Amino acid sequence: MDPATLAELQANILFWIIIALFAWQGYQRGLWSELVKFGFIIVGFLVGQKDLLGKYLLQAVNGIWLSVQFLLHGGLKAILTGNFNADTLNRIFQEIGGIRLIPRDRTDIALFLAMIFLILVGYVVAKFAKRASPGLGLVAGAFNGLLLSAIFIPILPKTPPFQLESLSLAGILKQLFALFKYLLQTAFHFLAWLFGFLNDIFGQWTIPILLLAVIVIILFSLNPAKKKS
Amino acid sequence: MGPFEYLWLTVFIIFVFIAFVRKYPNELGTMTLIFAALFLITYIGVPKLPAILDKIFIKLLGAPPTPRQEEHLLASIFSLTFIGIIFASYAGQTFSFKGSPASGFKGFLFTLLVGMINGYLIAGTLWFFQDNYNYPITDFHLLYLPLTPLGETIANYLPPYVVPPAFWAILMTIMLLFRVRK
Repeated sequence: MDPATLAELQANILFWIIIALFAWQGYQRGLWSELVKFGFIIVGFLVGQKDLLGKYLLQAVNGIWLSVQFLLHGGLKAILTGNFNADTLNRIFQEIGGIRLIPRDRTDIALFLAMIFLILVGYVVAKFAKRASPGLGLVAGAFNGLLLSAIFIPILPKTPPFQLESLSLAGILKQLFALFKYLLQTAFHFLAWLFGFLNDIFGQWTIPILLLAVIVIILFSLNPAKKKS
Repeated sequence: MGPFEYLWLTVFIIFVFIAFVRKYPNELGTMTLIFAALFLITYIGVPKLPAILDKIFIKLLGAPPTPRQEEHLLASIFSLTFIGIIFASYAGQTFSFKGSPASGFKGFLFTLLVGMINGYLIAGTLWFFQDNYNYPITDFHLLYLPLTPLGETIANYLPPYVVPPAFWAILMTIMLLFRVRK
């Protein structure tokens, strides 16, 4: 078999394995759960596109940020004291300048993260849905898998990072090692990219904010000890 | 010995492994004590101790220490105090958090995160005591300067450089509130 056909065959097998996994999950969770996920995937996809809902999200986030900055830089004081004239407004807007929470060159990353966030929220919310119609859930799950593949496959590299060239034990081990290395490198690149993005927004407060967020999430995961009766 | 960041990485990895052995509710107790230590050291120790040392030296020896002597002393005092606090947090009856931890993959992820944070705080703070006082340890030829480009980058992100002193107190307060909740 020539390498191009082998690569295509592997990609097809991988695709159907992914669809089967999503279908199995749909069967386990039921139809309602899959419909909730479907809703969040669609909303996430629309938010992820700058020309669709993305531009509205960016406007809203930057607008809220500007309002907060306005209030912090003397706007609140001006409103409370009634000193709300053109000079005060000019001074405040000069002070805060053209401040944007999400810089123009980072909008694509911000929208991509917003899309991932919404899809993840969908998966969390779907856990609370009642299990019903597993058969239809299977079909809906497979469809969700197809939808997610359509969204994320174009982002993946065009050439596969590893290829099963030999079915010997040594060949399989070699490819497993290549897969592990690829996943590790991707994880590091993603973390570096995420940190760079957060650093652009929060500057010197990036690490304190990350530290606080991680700690609060972990502390909330600890269920209080049950009282002894 | 080799570049500075290798030592930092080794200490970091050791604390990640320790977290997997002890599980994250125990490691959160250690983290609380690290926050307390960092607050005391960065808010009070670093700004006040040099003047106190000068006074003690003048009283005992009639002259203040030389700048390099002072750097050696401060780096040693802070490092030993910090190591002592870390040791105390692991030894004997530990300050662990109550409640049932998350299980499965979530539990694994949280343990990994807590281990990484503790590793970063401990290794990073010990490195800070060297960096802030011009690497006194290099006088003993245990580690060598200059730092590699990677080392220079990491040195900009050491915990006391990137977190304001009062923020350690905020983090410690949050931890204590969760520790005492019913």
